[in-house]
Amino acid sequence: MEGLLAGDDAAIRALYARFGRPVYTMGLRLLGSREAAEELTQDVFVTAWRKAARFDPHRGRLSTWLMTIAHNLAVDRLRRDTGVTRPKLVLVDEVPESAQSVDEDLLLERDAALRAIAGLSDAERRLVVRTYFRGMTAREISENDGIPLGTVKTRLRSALIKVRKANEHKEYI
Amino acid sequence: MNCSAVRDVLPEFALGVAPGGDVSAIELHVEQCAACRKETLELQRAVTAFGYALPPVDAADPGLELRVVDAVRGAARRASPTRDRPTRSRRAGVTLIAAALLVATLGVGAVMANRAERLRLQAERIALQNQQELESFGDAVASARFADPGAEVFTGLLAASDDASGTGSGLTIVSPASQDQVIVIVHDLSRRSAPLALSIANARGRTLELGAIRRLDSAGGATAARALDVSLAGFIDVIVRDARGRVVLRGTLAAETAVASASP
Repeated sequence: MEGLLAGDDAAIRALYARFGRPVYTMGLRLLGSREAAEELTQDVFVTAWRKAARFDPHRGRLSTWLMTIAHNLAVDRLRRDTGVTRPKLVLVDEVPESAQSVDEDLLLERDAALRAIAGLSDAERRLVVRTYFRGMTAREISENDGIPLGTVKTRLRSALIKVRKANEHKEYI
Repeated sequence: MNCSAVRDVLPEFALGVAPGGDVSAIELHVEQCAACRKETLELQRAVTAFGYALPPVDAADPGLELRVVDAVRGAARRASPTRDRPTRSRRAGVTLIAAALLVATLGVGAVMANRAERLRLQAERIALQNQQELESFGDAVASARFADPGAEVFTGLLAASDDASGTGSGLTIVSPASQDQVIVIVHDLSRRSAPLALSIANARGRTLELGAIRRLDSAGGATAARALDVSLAGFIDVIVRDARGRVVLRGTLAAETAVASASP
C-alpha cells in the first residue's frame, strides 16, 4: 500500500497482476463492452490509489476492499447509462473462459465464491443478478415485479447472510 | 440515521444500490458505529463473492496494464507537491479556502452592523454579496488549481424560494487526485430557519447529504465547508432546507472557466 501511495511502478503492477483480471471480468459482465471494462479497470486502480491511505487491513481484506471499489464504480456507470443506452447484460455463457493460468489465490477465492452462491435459492439468485449485475435498487425490483419492498429487502439480506456464512473461516487474500 | 435504519438498507448499501440520499448518512454512521461497521464489512465480503465467482476472461488489450500503471503514476505525480500526508493536506486545503471565504462573509456582515440601515441597503447589499462571493470564489478557484492543476471547479449562486429572503453561493472542487470539496455560503436567512440541511444532487436524482448549519449569525449568514470521500463529479444542484424540511435556497453550479488571478 505504501508503494501504491507513492505511485511506485512495481507496487501498481503487483496489485494489477493480482486483481486486474477479476476487476476487468466484473466490468465486462456489468458494462457489456471491452472498452468500458478497460476504462473501468483504469478508474478502479486510480481510485484505489486515492483511497489507499484509508485502507486498514485490520478492518477488512484487500480483495474485498478492491472489488467493492470496482463494483461501486461499475454500478455508478451502469446506472448513469440507464435509460439512455443501457448495455445488454453479458451472460456468463457468452464469454469464453480464460485459457491462461490464473493466480492460485484467485482460484481458491473463486472456488469458495461458487460454493457459497450454490446455496442460494432461485429467487435469491435472481435478486442477486438484478442488484449486483444490473444495478437495480430494491425499490425498482419491487415496483417492476409487484413484490412488496419489504419482501425484496428480506430476500436480499437472506441471500447475503447465506453467502457470508458459507464464506466463514475462509481467509485467502 | 440510527442503527436500525442503517441495518435496514445495509444489504443494498453493500450491493452498491442503496438510495442515493441514504449513502452519505450510512457512511457517516458506519464510520462511527463499530457494530454496524462490522456488519457492513461482512456483507461487503459476501457481495464480493459474486465478482470473484465469475469465470475470468483475458484482457483484450495487453496494453491495459501499462495504461493502468500510467494512470496511477500520473495521478500520483500530479498530487505529489501537496501529498506528503494525503488526508492532512487535503483538510488543510479545505480549511484555508473556507477561511478565506469566511473573511469575505464577515466583511459583508460588518457593513450591516447598523440594523436601521438594513432595509434601505438591502438591494445594494445583495448585489455586493454576490459580487464579493464570486470574487472570493475566484481566489479559491485559483488556490485550488494551483495546488491541484487537474481539479475542476464549479460555482453558482443560490436563490430563495418564491419571495422569501435569502441568498447564497455554492462551490465544488472535483479533483482527480484528492478529496472533493464543497463550500456553501448563505446570507439573509431567518435565524429561526436553522438548523439548515445542506445537500447536493446530480442529474440522475442521486443526492448527497453534506451536513447541517447549526446556527446563523446576526445577519442570517453562515459558511459551511466539507471534504468528501465520494466524487462530486456531476453533482451541481445545491439545496438548502430549513428545520422543517422546506427548500429555502437552491441553485445550480456551472463549470468555472475564467479566473482573473493567476496565482494564489
